Formats: sequence, C-alpha cells, structure tokens
Amino acid sequence: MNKTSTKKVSIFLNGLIKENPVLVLVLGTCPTLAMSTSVISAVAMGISATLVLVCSNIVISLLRNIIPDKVRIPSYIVIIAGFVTMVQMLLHAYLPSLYAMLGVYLALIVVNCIILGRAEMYASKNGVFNSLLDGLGMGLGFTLALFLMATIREVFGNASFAGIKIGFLENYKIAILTQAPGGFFVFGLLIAIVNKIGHNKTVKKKEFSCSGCPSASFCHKNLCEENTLEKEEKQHA
Amino acid sequence: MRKNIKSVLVLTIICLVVSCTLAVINFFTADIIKNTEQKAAFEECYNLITDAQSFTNIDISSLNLDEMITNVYKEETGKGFVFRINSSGFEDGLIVMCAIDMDGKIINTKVIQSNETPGYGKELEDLTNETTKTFLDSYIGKDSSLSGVIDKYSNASRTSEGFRKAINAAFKAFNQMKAVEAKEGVANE
Amino acid sequence: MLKSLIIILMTSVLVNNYVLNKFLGICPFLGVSKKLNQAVGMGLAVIFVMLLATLVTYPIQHYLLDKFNLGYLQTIVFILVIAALVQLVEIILKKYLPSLHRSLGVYLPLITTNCAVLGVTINNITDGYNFIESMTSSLGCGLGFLLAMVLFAGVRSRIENAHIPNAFKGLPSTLIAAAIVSCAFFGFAGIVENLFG
Repeated sequence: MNKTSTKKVSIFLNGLIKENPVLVLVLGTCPTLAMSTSVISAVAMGISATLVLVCSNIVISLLRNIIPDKVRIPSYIVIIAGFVTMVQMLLHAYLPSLYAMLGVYLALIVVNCIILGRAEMYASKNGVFNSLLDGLGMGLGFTLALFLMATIREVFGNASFAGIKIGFLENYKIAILTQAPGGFFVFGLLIAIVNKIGHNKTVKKKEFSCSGCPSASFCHKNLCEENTLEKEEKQHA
Repeated sequence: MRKNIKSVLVLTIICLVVSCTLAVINFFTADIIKNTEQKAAFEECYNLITDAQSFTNIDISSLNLDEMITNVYKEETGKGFVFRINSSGFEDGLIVMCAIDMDGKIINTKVIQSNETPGYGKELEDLTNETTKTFLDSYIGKDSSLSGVIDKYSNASRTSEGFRKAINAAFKAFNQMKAVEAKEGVANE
Repeated sequence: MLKSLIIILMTSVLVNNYVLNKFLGICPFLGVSKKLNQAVGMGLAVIFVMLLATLVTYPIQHYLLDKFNLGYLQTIVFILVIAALVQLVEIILKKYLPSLHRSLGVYLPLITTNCAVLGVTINNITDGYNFIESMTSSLGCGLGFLLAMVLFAGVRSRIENAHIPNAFKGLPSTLIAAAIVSCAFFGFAGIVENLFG
C-alpha cells in the first residue's frame, strides 16, 4: 500500500517539478508568454487549462479502449474542444471580467500542446485515477510556471502584485517587462535558471520533446532540431 | 472495412455527445450571458449620465455608422446618447464610452476596457488615479471642436491618440444619430 | 477600400506581428527557425494553411453557425475543419504534386495544432472583418510569421558561433534573441497612422 501511494504522489509531483510542462518540456509557450503580464490573468489561465486538462484526461482515459487508433487524434481534439467550450461558456456567464481578460487565448487552450500531448502520451495508456493525477500535476505545474513569470513581470514591470500597488518600487519600474520583449526575456531567463539548478536532475529536453509533442505521430521526426542533430550524428558516425 | 466503419462511427458518436452536452449548457448560459452584458453596459451608461431615467440599446445595423462604434444607447428622457467605441491605441481593444447631450456637448467619458501597457496607458481605466481624473474631466462640456482638452496623457501618447480617435468617432456618430432622429420626426408628423 | 486593405496588411505584418507581438505560433518559431530553408518552407506552408483555413471557416461561421445560433460550437468546428483541411491538402499534395509535397508537405501536420492558424481564424471573426478583409488579414499574418522566421534564422545562425554560458545554451539564448527582435519591431509602432494619416 505504501509503495502505490508514493507512486501516486510521484505521478502528481512529476508534472509539478521534474517534468514541468512549461519550464522543462517547453510546451504551451503561447499562453505562457501572452497571459503572464499580470498575476490574476496568469492564475485564471492556469486554472482554466488545468480544469480542461483534468477533465479531458479522465474522459480520454475512460474511453481509451473504445476509440480506434485511426481516429485517435480527431477524437481527442473533439473531446478537448468540448471541455474548452464548456469552460468558455461558464466563464462568460458567471465571471465575465475574467473572460474578457483571457480573450482569444481561452479558445486557444484547445491547441495547447500540453493537453493534446498528455492525452496522447499518458491518458491513452493509463488508468483513470492515474490520468487524473497526471493531469492535475501537469496543470498545476503550468499554473506555477505562469504564476512565477507573472510575478516577475508584474512586480518589476508594473510595481504591483495582483492589482495591489507596491509603493516603493513605483519609481523603479521596468515597463518593457510587461510588453512583448519582456515576455520572451523573462521566459528565457527562467529556463536558464531551471537548467542551472536542474543540471542532471531534470529530464533533458532532448529525450522528451518529440514524444511530448502532439504532432509526433505525423511529423516523421524530420523537423525538430534535436532530431536533425541526431540524424546528422548518425550519418557522420 | 469493418475497422473503418467502426472508426467513423465512434468519431461521429463522440461528436454528437459533445455537441449535445454543449447545447444543453448553452441553453442554460446563453440568457445569463446576454443579460449580464446588457446590465453591465447599462450600468456604465448610468455611471456617465448620473440623472438618467432609462436607456434603450439602439439597433445600429442598418445605419452607416463608423465601424468603431459598437453600441449606441439612447437616454429615454432626452438627456442624450451614450456611444460605446472600440478604438485602438498601443494595442487593439481600447473600449471607450462617451455620453453626449442633445446640444452636442460631452457629458462624460470613460475608458471601460483596454489592452494597453500596465502602468502607462492602462492607467486610463483607473478612476482613482488623479492624473486620469484630470485628463477625463477636461473633456466634460466640450463640443466637437475639443478646444481646451488635455491633449496627451503623460507617457501614453498612443493611448491618448486612440482615445481622441474614439471621441471624434463618437461626435461623428452623434451627428448621424441626430439626422436619423430628425428624419423620423418628420416622418412621424 | 484598397487603403483599408493595405492598412490591415501592414498592421498584421509589422505592427501586430503574430509571433513577436501576439505570441501565436511560438512552438514552430522556436523549433524550426534554425536553418533558412526550413524557415522559409515553414513560413510558406503557414501562409498557405492560413489562407485556406480562412477561406473555409469564414463562410461556415457566417452561413452556418450564426444563422442557426450555434456560435458556441465555433471552437470545435474551426479546429476540426482546420485539421481535416490540412490532412486533405497533404493527401492531395502527395498524390498530385510530389515535388511540392517534399518541400512543403512535411510542415503541414505541425501547423494543425499551431496556435497561429486557429488564432487568425477566430480573430477575423472577433474583429468583424468581411470576407476580403479576412483573407487580407490572414495573408498579412502569414507574411508576418514568414518575416519573423526568416529574420530569426539569420539571428540564430550568428548565435551558434558565439560563446554562451552552459545554462543559456539552446532555448534561453534563442528566447533572449527573440526579445531583442521583438523590441526592434516596436519601431514600426506608429507607421500605419503616419503613412496614411
């Protein structure tokens, strides 16, 4: 019993730290860069994505033996899109200000590599409870990364935190952090820090980028730089 | 062959189930959405014209207004019109509401929503900010010549331009609405 | 009419560049922009898919979804249409234009789950463009994507020859370079208003 419970916890923690979808696997970069200008929108995006991820993981895991291999990807897309639309409608009705903040990026959760990637890589091969834990872990990891980026960008770029102004930083604002270049810069910095801290502990991107990417099944492994590098190495060997 | 049929069947069933679930949720939320939006818009109208009695949302689809105008609200006791304008400053989506009385003078203006830079253009949404209050108050009582308004909001020149564009569009629409009303008045007689 | 189309084109290529300003289409941008020929191929494929997607989704939205009040099905319908379209195009290319398939076809599946394509189709509806304006906007966004990719391929080839600290090797240096390129595009900010008054 102890072994299985530690295993369950490790599934959950996996998504949070070791295989953090944003900072380690580098998936779902679009909403990360766009929604991390303020803490509130970052947390809202993170929680919406987590909701969709958990629900779609559960449903896809439940249906994993019924969906034939040929229509795998379209079915996953329909299920994920269904949950995204549900979240859209509920937010629009009950939390319209958040809906306005998220804008088009809420609809873009449907093509978020994290969700389709997890569905393909984990939910279609594992039981319901494990898929739930995995979805929760990955989603919270996503939210954590977004929160981190948003904190840096909002505190140093706008001298506020979740809308509450921080007086003594007001004169030292670096406004560009809240705009487009700032997003790229902070993201790059964070990944560099994670690389430095992680070293050999975190999973090297090289081993996971293709299997984590939802287009892996059609891509023929021709495109991503890691694979062209491997191919070249093989040719020279 | 059998595999293909099974694949298509499963996909179709999934699509149907998902669509039906969404239709059910839509049934429950569509009215709420419409009402909340209407209520929120009217609330802003009352914020701009404080002694207003009631507003109606005018159907502008057949009028040839500037495409920046998203809604026109008419105050029923003749206090004026409120225009909701979707302008663009540094970024798109600069939503401005402008109330103009029947003599063609601004009653009040407000920036409802924007994607401008936080701390700079976005401050225009914050009415507790003294600079914002001074900027917006300078527009009160002005007519379409806008003489004597504060030209630029400090450090937000493009947002200020977007705001000015919105106000100009509101005045243009106001003249068009007056012309429409005059025509209707003649027709009624 | 022509003037507004040119404004839309210039705005989506330079001022509101989809990659550097709106953060759509980052995954292929970071993954495929290392070599110039790959970058060009990807950019052209994206333009092609965007135009095709708008061509199909615009009528669907206006004559199907809006007519029957099925607006809430927009996300599902759009993404399915885009996925199906790309599959179809790939099959047709493979069969009838194998040379084109060899150069562009490999990028097509990667574009299906690309934020940029879905983003541009949804944004065209939200911005209320008519058909010609939607097509122009998609063309502009695709061109903006191509421009960003090509510029970046040049930047990255320079970075490769530089000395970079270990922690920054790979993605972090790419992202910081992207920050600088994005900063450069800020210079286009006032261009549309000042050119066209």
